[in-house]
Amino acid sequence: MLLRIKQTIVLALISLTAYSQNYEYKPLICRGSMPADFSTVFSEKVEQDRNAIGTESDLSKRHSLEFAVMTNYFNHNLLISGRVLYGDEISELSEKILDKLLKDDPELRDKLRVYTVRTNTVNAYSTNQGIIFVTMGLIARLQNEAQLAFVLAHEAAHVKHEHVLHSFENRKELASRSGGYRGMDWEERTLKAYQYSREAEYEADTEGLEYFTDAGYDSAEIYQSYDILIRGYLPIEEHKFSFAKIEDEHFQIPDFYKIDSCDAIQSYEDIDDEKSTHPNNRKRKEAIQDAIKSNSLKFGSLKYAITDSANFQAIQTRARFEMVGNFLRSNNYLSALHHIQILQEDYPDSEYLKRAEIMCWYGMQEMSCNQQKSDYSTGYRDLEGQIQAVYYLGAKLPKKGFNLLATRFIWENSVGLNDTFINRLKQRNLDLLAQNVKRDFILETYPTADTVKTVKRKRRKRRTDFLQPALVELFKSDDFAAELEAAYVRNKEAEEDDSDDSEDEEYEDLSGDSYVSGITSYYGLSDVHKVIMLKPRFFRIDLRKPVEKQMLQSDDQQMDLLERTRDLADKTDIELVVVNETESNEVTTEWFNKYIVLADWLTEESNYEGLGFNSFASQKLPEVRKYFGSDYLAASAVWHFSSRKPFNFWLAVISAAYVVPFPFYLAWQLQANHYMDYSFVVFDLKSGEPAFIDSKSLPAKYRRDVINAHLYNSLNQLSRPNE
Amino acid sequence: MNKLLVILMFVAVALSANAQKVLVSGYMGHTDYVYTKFHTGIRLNNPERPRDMTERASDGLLLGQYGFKTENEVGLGKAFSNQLAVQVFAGYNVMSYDPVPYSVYGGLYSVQDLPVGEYRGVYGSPKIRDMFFGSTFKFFRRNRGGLAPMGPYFGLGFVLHNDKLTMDNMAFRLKEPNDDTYKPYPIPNPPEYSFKSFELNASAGIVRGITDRLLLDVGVQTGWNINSAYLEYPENVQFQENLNEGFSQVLNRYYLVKASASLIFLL
Repeated sequence: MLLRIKQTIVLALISLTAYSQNYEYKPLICRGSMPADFSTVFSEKVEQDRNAIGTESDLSKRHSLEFAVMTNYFNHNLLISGRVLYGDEISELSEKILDKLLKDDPELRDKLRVYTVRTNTVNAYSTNQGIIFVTMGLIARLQNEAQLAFVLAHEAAHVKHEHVLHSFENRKELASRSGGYRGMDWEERTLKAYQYSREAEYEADTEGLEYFTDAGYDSAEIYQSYDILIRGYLPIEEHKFSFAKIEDEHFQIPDFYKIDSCDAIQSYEDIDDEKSTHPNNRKRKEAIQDAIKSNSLKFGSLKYAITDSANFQAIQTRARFEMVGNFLRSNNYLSALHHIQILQEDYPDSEYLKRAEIMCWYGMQEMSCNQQKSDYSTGYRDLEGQIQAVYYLGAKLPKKGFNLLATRFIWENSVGLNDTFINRLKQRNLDLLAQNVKRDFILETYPTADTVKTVKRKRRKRRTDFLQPALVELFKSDDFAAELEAAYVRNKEAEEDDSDDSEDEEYEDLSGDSYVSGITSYYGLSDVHKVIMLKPRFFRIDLRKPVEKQMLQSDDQQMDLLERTRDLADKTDIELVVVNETESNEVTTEWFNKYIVLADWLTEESNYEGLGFNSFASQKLPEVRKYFGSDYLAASAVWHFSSRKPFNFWLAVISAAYVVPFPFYLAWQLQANHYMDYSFVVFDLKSGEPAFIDSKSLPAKYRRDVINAHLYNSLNQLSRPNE
Repeated sequence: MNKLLVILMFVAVALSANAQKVLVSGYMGHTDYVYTKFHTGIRLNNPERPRDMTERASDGLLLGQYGFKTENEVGLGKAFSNQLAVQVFAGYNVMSYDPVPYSVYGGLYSVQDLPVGEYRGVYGSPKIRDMFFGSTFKFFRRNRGGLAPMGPYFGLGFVLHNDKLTMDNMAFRLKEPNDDTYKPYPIPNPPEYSFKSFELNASAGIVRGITDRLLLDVGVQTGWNINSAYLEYPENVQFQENLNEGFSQVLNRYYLVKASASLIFLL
């Protein structure tokens, strides 16, 4: 009895500790040495694949090239984009599960490797090369190891049967109306192609089932994993959004902004899958049951074979925290807000979640002030479940509402978070408030909450009146009142400056830079001699040529562009640190992890169409700057687009009628339309703003010497001494 | 990435107040250059080189005979901005013309002044030695990727021609009364004229990089002869008019359209 009491007390203490602990979220990062998939150059991958395909498939030489290029191009770019992790806890666990699943098939096991994709989409997919990608969104939802094991077994079976390759062969037959598609019309061919894809899924299910059974996992988890996949569009948990967090005794959100009732979650168990690449859930479950019966499979009861529940939950929790970051990176603030509330149920003291929540309100304020509200708040009608309430609020709340609620939330919740990022965010928040909400609207109500009713009675009621008491609590702090007043003074001064500037003077300000018909030159930096650089991108799009050739050409040119950039940087006395050149021995895993931070920052920044935005990822920039030893990040890209000139009937007729101009017309008509775009941008990582832009959009053919000249010019402008 | 770059273009305008002054980079850091240029222009009945006394000149205007004239120049250039380069140049060219009908020479030397026989035109052709100097302003087209001194351009230029016309390589074509064959007879005291003409021209072309220091410029040029040569010969007004008209035709036709190719060496 005493023992039982002691056990109970210990368990209670453990659970209390677990509840009250300040969960230290650490982001998932790459670990170990960089795999060959990341460090092998694209052209080498294509060559390797072509050789392999040549011995395994009946594809023609051209089609095998097309397949090798198409599959590798997108995978290669995904791998080095900073969106994929290797050696992290998820990949590591998945590799171990594969070891167990494929203990009797070492040949297949050797071919496979797993990487984690940093996206909230619920998915797993495999490539012909044996790479299995699992997404963070999937891991965040799977409940145990057995469910992950079934997903991996399914993908392993896809690789074993080379479904990607066969699917490509099938598409070629469909396009050429050969093989099984002979004599069919378009509708019939399309339906048959879908059927082919579904059959491959059934095959992967039944084959994966055998691996799963042999490993001793519990069959019930198969059905659970199907359900999780099909409900992947929903939040990780069904959670009622709490408005209490943004309300207090003075300030209540009116019912108008609260949805009456959220739509029920639908069941998509038995949807019409005739035009789907995957069978519907019901059919898949039935097929699994049939396979179990016909093969007399005997299952184990393992939910965990490699790891234990605690470890799996820890990984799942990290994936769930990662989801918040992923939402913020894509400016999906309302989903982020909803997920933060879900996670705060278990981790109320998490500083990461607190910061993320502040970021959500600030981000929505920025976006609504920048006319980008639609980027994150549309489509509440398309949603199901409780998350609809958050999206409803987001859709209905006016710009003034976002400004006041963001101010209220940021200032109330940033207590104790006193660092550069939070301070910049608070400052920016007040500046936006001053720009977008009239001083009188706020100050006629304050400093005491008692005056609210009086003011309201005096004039006609407005829909935004409920916002007036939003800042009552904040005004109890003298600091806030002073900061707000200072923001209004700054705003007034800025407005006066703007009104003083005549149109002519604005044009004079443009001396030294220009914006002329697709040409932008802004040289706001000088005397820069060390730059962090993303690998220059080269895109060659020629609608007259096969896609695979364009991709190969693009890659060749991209390598060439990198070399030229290096040469010209040497000439202009600039040290380049190319952060994502994974082929280089210089790029270590630690280096690559820093690059991921930069890629995240750039993605988040690029979603905002203006200046002054403080992205969530910018918090980590100081460590990246220190690591690479530079405050500047450069990115360059060259696009070249060519297409056939549209046929001009009347010009052809008229020139033919007069005979003499016809050869000139013909020469003109046969020439392609060309368009070239060159961009070289340098960001100041201290301020987070672009500080140097050299961009040309030209209706001209791509010329290597032209790009050389402009690249040199960009680098030269950047490195010249300060005047 | 692409979206980012599009956004940045708009952002740049907002940032413009802090912009630094633009540096002239030239091509790969070189703004100064020397060049040699080869022109070729259409000639109609005007020979590329002066004929010598063994070659018979055409007797009258022979339209339909066409070919090319060539000339060479060397020059210095400098990019003063990313859109403007200025070139100064000099060249020497020997050419000729043959629009002169029988009457011209007939007017110059009447048959009775000649020693003997029957006059049938001339051998050889007038020689024009042209020493020219000039300057060209090349405006590189930024919206086509031009960055002086590289890329597509339009040019405006002026050229001062110092010409000298001589007839010392000419001879009359004569036949003695009892002879069946015509023979050359040197022109006694052949006249010599010096004159200046002024040409304005416009050009268009493209300069391409061959190496980091060597560029190739190909283009076309059209020009106008502002003040035609005036060759004074007060003794014979008709001759003077014919001579001047003929010579103006030569210059105008030659200046009208020229194709050119230059090799540019960056300093």
